[in-house]
Amino acid sequence: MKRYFDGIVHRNKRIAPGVFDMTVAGEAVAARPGQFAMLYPGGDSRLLPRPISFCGADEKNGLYRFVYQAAGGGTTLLAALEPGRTIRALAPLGNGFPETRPGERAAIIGGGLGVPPLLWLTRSRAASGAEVSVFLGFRSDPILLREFAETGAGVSVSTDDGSMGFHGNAADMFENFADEPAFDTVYACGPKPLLARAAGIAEKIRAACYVSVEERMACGVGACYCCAVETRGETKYRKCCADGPVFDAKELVWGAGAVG
Amino acid sequence: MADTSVSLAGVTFKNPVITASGTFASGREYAELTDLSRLGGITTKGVSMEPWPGNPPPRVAETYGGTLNSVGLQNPGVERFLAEDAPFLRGCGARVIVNICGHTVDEYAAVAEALADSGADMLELNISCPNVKRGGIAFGTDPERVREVTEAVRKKARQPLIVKLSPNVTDITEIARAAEDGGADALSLINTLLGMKIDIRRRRPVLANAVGGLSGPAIMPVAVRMVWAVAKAARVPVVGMGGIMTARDAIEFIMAGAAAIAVGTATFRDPNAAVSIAEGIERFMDENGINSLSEIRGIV
Ligand SMILES: Cc1cc2nc3c(=O)[nH]c(=O)nc-3n(C[C@H](O)[C@H](O)[C@H](O)COP(=O)(O)OP(=O)(O)OC[C@H]3O[C@@H](n4cnc5c(N)ncnc54)[C@H](O)[C@@H]3O)c2cc1C
Ligand SMILES: Cc1cc2nc3c(=O)[nH]c(=O)nc-3n(C[C@H](O)[C@H](O)[C@H](O)COP(=O)(O)O)c2cc1C
Repeated sequence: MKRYFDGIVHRNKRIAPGVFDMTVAGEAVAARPGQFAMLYPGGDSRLLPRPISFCGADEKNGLYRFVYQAAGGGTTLLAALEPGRTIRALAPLGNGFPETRPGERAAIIGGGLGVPPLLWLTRSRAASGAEVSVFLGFRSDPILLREFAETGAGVSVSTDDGSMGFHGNAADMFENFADEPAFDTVYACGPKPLLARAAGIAEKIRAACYVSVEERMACGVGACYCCAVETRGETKYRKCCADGPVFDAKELVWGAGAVG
Repeated sequence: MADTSVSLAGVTFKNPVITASGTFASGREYAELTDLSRLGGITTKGVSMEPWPGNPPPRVAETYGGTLNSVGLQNPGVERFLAEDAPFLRGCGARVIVNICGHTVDEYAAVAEALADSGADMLELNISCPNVKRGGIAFGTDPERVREVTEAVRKKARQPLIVKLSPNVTDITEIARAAEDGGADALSLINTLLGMKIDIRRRRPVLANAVGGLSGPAIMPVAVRMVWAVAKAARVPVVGMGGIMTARDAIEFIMAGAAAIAVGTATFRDPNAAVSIAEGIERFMDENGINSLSEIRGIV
């Protein structure tokens, strides 16, 4: 059930240059990994809410965690919210990642600000007994590594500048690992080129592949048709907010409509 | 208690607040977030004869106090509208206006004909959408074509017909008169204003379509001016829209001469915006001793 509510910021802490870790207390709504919230920066000049994925949730207590970059005007306003302030939210939105299968061997690949939603996915997969290997790529400052390690999953890290772990991006790193078909499913979130690479590697090793994509949105609930994602289906453009943000990679047409 | 009801071409609405086409789909997506039965009416997204794919993304850009969109009238076509949306709308508790679009006069007329038994209370003819290169704009900017398409649709439509005007013209009252001459039972305005936003880092437009339609509070004074001018010039009732965020905004439109108003972009900021505006209008009437909106309609 979607809810539009005023939440209270519990914590909003900088965890890396330009990256913030925020917990919001709001209405108790059932949510799942891969779903997102619309957060409203407020004021009359910026009318549109900002889509931010759940990094985690304690749904019984109505606590939702977001890890986000102060990328532009709206998210910079979010970053300035002190604990105790209210924040308007619309959640939960989107489909989320599909349910796991028993004994699943999962590869989870994230790049940059695509990493936060994968923490919740990794936790839930690891908790349900899946065999999980995580491949995380960062430009230079890794985030959330300790929490990923605590899930019990195998975690590999890469940096674009080689300052930590594998020198390169998460797809390069994953490709080195994936020369044998050791995975049933590949999950990916991050920049579009990374998603396309992950999908290509998954196809090679005959694994299913689910990717979480980004597109510019307005309503967040599937009403306005702004967040079009090009697919191979009979309907050329599907909605990122309502049909996604997680898509079976086989459905997608790569190369069009990247935001960044 | 104030009587908020209004009548448009013989159709009674319990209050003057209608959702604007393209911002509310067919209402289903908002049903769990707002009480549809408290709306005066719902206007559907544009419906065409065949499915339209729409424009490539990005389709939306935020501007100061507004949004630009280039959705391009993506919709699955009238057949699927009738199968999937019409039954829901018949039970939604609000008046239903189906917005129609087409590439040719015949296509517009065919959609109107297909909607005869849809349960729609009114049809709204979108001659003004600036997004589709071959459609919309060509009809809405030329008085002769406006009269022609209105006449053709009027002949086929079983419901009262609203003609929705484009603001991207030199003299909107001339277009309004052409629609009236073609048999329009009501007029609505304004559709979005053509605009553009450039991403200076990438040195290219934000929208894949380069240009899009501007909506939201940034356009409201333009919309009020046009509604005021058209309401004075026209014999038929006018539905006013463009940037309405609050009940006070809605009252401006009514004082400018609107019989009813529509709420679009405001819903993106608050799913409950249209219902809140309806409540606010009622409160304004009570506070100001207004028994019927006819007391203030066109008072300016
Ligand atoms: C489903 C989804 C989940 C996301 N999850 C996260 C997350 O967990 N952490 C995180 O840091 N970021 C996430 N993003 C990206 C985030 O939404 C953008 O960084 C943010 O909207 C930028 O807003 P702004 O006001 O700071 O930037 P501005 O450039 O000022 O924004 C202007 C407009 O463009 C839109 N926009 C700009 N960049 C993007 C983008 N990359 N994707 C979608 N819309 C954009 C804004 O929402 C706004 O409407 C997610 C995006 C989507 C679609
Ligand atoms: C995303 C979006 C889609 C729209 N689609 C349509 C449409 O399909 N047909 C139409 O007649 N108008 C369409 N419009 C125009 C609105 O109905 C309305 O005329 C305009 O947005 C001004 O009102 P507002 O400022 O309250 O949004 C659309 C507007 C937006 C923002």
